[in-house]
Amino acid sequence: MSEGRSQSGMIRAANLLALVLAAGGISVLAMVFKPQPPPEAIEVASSQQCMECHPGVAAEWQASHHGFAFENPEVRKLSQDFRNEECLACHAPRPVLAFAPGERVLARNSERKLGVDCLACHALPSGGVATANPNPRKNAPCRPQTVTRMADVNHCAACHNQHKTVDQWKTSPPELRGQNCLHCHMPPVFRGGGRRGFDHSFNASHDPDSLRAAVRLFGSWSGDQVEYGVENYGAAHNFPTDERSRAADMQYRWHLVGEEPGAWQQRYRFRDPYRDEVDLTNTQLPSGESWKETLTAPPQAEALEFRLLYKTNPYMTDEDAVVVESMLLKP
Amino acid sequence: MKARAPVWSLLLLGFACQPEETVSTPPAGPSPQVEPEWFQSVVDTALADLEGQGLVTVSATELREVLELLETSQLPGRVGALARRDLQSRPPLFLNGALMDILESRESTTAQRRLAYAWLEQVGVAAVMPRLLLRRKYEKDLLAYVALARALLKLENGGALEGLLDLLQREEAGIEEIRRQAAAALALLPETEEWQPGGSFEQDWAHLLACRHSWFLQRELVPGEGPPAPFDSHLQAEVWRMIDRLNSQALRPVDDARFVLGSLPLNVVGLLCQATRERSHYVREAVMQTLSWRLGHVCGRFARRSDFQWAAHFETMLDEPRSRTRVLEALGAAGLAEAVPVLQSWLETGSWEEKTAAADALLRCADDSALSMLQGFRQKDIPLSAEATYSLQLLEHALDPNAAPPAPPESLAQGEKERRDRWLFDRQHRPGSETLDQENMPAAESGSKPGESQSLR
Ligand code: HEC
Ligand code: HEC
Ligand code: HEC
Ligand code: HEC
Ligand code: HEC
Repeated sequence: MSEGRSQSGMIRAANLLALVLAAGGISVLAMVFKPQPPPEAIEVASSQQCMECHPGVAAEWQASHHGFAFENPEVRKLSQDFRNEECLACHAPRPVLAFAPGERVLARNSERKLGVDCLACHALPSGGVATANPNPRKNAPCRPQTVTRMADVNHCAACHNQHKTVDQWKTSPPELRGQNCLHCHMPPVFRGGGRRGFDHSFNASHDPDSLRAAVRLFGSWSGDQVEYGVENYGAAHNFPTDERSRAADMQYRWHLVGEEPGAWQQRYRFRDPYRDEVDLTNTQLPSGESWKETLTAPPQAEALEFRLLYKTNPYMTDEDAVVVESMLLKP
Repeated sequence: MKARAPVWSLLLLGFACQPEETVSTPPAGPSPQVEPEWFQSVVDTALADLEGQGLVTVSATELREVLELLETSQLPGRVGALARRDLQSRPPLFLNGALMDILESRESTTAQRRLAYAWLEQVGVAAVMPRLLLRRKYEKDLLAYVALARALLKLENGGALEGLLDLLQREEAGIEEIRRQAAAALALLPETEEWQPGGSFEQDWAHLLACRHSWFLQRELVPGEGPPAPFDSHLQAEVWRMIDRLNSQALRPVDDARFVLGSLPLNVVGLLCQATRERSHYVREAVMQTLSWRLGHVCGRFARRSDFQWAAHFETMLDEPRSRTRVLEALGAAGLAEAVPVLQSWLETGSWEEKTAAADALLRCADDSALSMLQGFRQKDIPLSAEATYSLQLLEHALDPNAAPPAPPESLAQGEKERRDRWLFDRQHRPGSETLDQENMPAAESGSKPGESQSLR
C-alpha cells in the first residue's frame, strides 16, 4: 500500500484509529463509573431534530451523497422525478434497522427530501437510536443503544449490494478489508467536547482524493518494451464499484523527440455494463488486482504518458472526467 | 470499541464490569412478534396448487428444433409449409414456452425475435401474457415492438397501446415503415358496434383512444360489466410465478414483476388482493405498491364490479405494523370513500409516517361526506408532516371551493408537491366520477416508450 506515493486523507485517517481509540477509551471509562440520571427521553419523529443536537454530523451529512439522495438531479432525471416510485426504496428509505440484516429496505412516506437520513441509519424500531459504541450516554435525549450491527457491513448491504459491492468486499485481500466499510468510508473525527466521532461525508467517487486513494499507476521500460498498468490497491471492492454507470478509462500517448505529444489513445475501460449492453462484460478491477499491458515503443519515443480517467457516467467526455492520476514514463 | 477495534472493546468491557444488559444484542431484524392470523403462505400454496400448469419448460434440444422450424417456416413452397404445419401441431403451451425462451434469450437475433412475435400473434395463449408483457421493457427494435404489440392485442391486452400511440405520434424521419406497421396493427383492436377494421385512419385513431381510455380505467379494451373475466389455470400459474419474483432480494425481478402485474386484465386485482395476505413482507409490500402505485382507480372498479369489500379487506391488515403505511396507501388508492372512517382514525392516532400515509390516502378517496371531518380535524391542531398537511389542504379545497387555497409548506419537496397534485387530478378517475377528456389523458400506465433504454441500473 505504500508504493512511494502519499496516501489520501481517507486512508491516512483510518490509520490514525488506534491513537484515537486510546483517547476515546479513557473518557468512556470515566463515564461508565458515573451514576447516570434517569433518561429524559424524547420522541424523535424527524431527522431535522437529530440535526439540531448533532450539528457537526449534520454538516457532514448535508454535504454527502446520502443527504443528497432524493434531491440529486441525476437521480431525479433517471427516475422521472421519482414518478418511478421504485427508486424511492433506497433514495428515501425507511429505517434499515427495521429490516433483517442485509435485506433490502423499502420506501418511506414523509420527508423524502432528506434522502438517506439520520433515521434511515440510526432509528430503532423500538424507539431510540442505535450506535456501535458499547458505552453510549444512555441518558442522552435520543436514548442511544448499543447495536453492533451499526458497524457491520450488512448495515450498508441493505442498499449497497444490488451491484455486489459488499460481496466484493468479502473476497477482498485481508490487508484491505479492514473490519468493515467504515474503516475507509467513515474515518474518525472529533466532535465538540472532544468526543470521538466518525465522518459522515461518505467520500468516494465524487471526491478526487478518494479516487486517488483507490488506485496506483505503475510502469517500466526495458529496451523497446514498455509495460504500464494500474493496481486497485486502496479499495476493498472493485474499482469502480456499485452503480453500473461508473467507468474508468486508461489512456496513453507517446512523446516523440522534437514533437508535441499526440492525441490520447483510449486503451481500456473498467466498468460493469448495463444489462442491455449484452456485447460487453464486466471489466471492473477487483480489489488488490492489477491490469497491465506491454507496448512496443516507436523508434523516436522519449516518453510514454498514461493516465486514468474517472467518469460518473459512461457517456461523459474526457474533458469532464476526473484525471485520477497520470504518469510520464521515460526509458 | 467499534467493531474495528475488537481488542480494545474486549479490554474495556472486562475492565468496566458492565452488567449484562447494558450491551444489548443487535436485534436480528424486527423483533419477533405473534404473527397476525391472516398471515398465510399464499404464494407457495398457489404455486403448489397450480403445479404443472402454465407454459411448458422447454429443453435446449427442443428449443433448437423450434428455432430451426421457425427459420424454415419462412422458406417458400413445400418445405416452408411443412415447417409451419409442424409448428402448428405442437401443443400450444409448449410452443408458447419455446417462443418466449427465444424472445428472452440474449443470443436471439432481431429477425428471430420479430418472427417469434409474429408466431405468437397466431398461436399465443392467455398464459403467455405475463412474460410477453415483460418484453415491452427489453425489446429495443421498433418493428419487433410493433409485432409484440400485435401479439398482445390479439390476446385483448392493451399493455402496448401506449407504445403504439407513441410510435404513431413520432415525427422523426426514417421510421415511416414502423409508423405504417403501427397503424396497420390497429386493425387488431376489438370490434364494437361503432367500429370495424377497414375504415379510415381517423376512425381507427378514435377507436384507439377509446380502447386506451377503457384500458386505463379498467384494464379491458372494451368496457365490460359485472365480475371481470376469470383467468384460466395456466394464466393463473404464470401470474403467481410473477408474484413469486416479488420476494427477491435482487431488485430487477421485483421491478420486472411490478411492471407486468400492472398491465394484466382486470381480474389481476383479485389475485393481488389474495397475495396481500402473504407472510413475506417483501411480497406484501410490492403487491400493495402495485395496487396503489400502478393500478389505483382500476382497483376501485374491480371492487365495484366483483362486490369485493375493499376497505374491509385491508382494514384487517392494519394490526401488522411493518406494512401498515402501505396498507393505508392501498386503502385510499382504489378511490372508494368507504375507506374514509378507518383512514380518519389513523390520521388522528397514527405515527408520523402513518398519519402521512392516511392523509395521502384520504386525498385519493374521500368524497364530500369527509368535509366536516376534515374541518374538525383542522381544529384539533394535531402536528403533521409537510406532505400530509398539503394533501389535506388539497382535499379540503377540492371538496369545498370556499376553503383556503392550498399553500404548500416550505419544507415540502417539489416532487412531493407534484405527486399530490397528480393525485388531486386523478380524483377524476375514481369510480363514479368519470369526466375524463380522452385526448388529454395522462399516460395510461407508467413504463416504457418503445425503444427507450429501461434497464440503466
Ligand atoms: C435533544 C438533543 C438530541 C437529539 C434531538 C438527538 N440527540 Fe443524539 N445525542 C445527544 C446527546 C447529548 C448525546 C450524547 C453525546 C455524548 O456522548 O457526548 C447523543 C448521542 C447520540 C449517539 C451516540 C453517540 C456515541 O457514539 O455514543 C448517536 C448515534 C446519536 N445521538 C444519534 C442521534 C440521532 C440519529 C438522532 C435523531 C434521531 C439524535 N441523536 C437526536 C443529543 C440529541
Ligand atoms: C438506506 C440505504 C443506504 C444505506 C443503509 C447506506 N447507503 Fe450509502 N448510499 C445510498 C444511496 C442511495 C447513495 C447515493 C445517493 C446519490 O448519490 O443520490 C449512497 C451513496 C454512498 C456513497 C457515495 C458514493 C458517491 O457516489 O460518492 C458511499 C461512499 C456510501 N454510500 C457508503 C455507504 C456505507 C459505507 C454505508 C454503511 C455504513 C452506507 N453507504 C449505507 C444508500 C444507502
Ligand atoms: C437498492 C437500493 C437502490 C434503489 C432501489 C435505487 N438506487 Fe440509485 N443508488 C443506490 C446506491 C447505493 C447508489 C450509490 C452507488 C454509487 O455511488 O455507485 C445509487 C446511486 C444512484 C445514482 C448516481 C448518483 C450520482 O450522483 O452519481 C443514480 C443516478 C441513481 N442511483 C438512480 C436511481 C434510479 C433512477 C432508481 C430507480 C430506478 C434507483 N436509483 C433506485 C441505491 C439504490
Ligand atoms: C480499503 C478501503 C475501503 C473499504 C474497506 C471499502 N471501500 Fe468503498 N471505496 C474505497 C475507495 C478508495 C473508493 C473510491 C474509488 C471508487 O469509487 O471505486 C470507494 C468507493 C466506494 C463507493 C462509491 C462508488 C461509486 O460509484 O461512487 C461505494 C458506494 C463504496 N465504496 C461502498 C463501500 C462499501 C459498502 C464497503 C463495505 C462493504 C466499502 N466501500 C469498503 C475504499 C474502500
Ligand atoms: C448511511 C448511514 C448513516 C447515516 C445516513 C447517518 N449515520 Fe450516523 N453513524 C453511522 C454509522 C455507521 C456510525 C458509526 C458507528 C457508530 O458509532 O454507531 C454513525 C455514528 C454516528 C454518531 C456517533 C459518532 C459521531 O460521529 O458523533 C452520531 C452522533 C451520529 N451518527 C448521528 C447521525 C446524525 C445526526 C445523522 C443525520 C444527520 C446521521 N448520523 C446519519 C451511519 C449513519
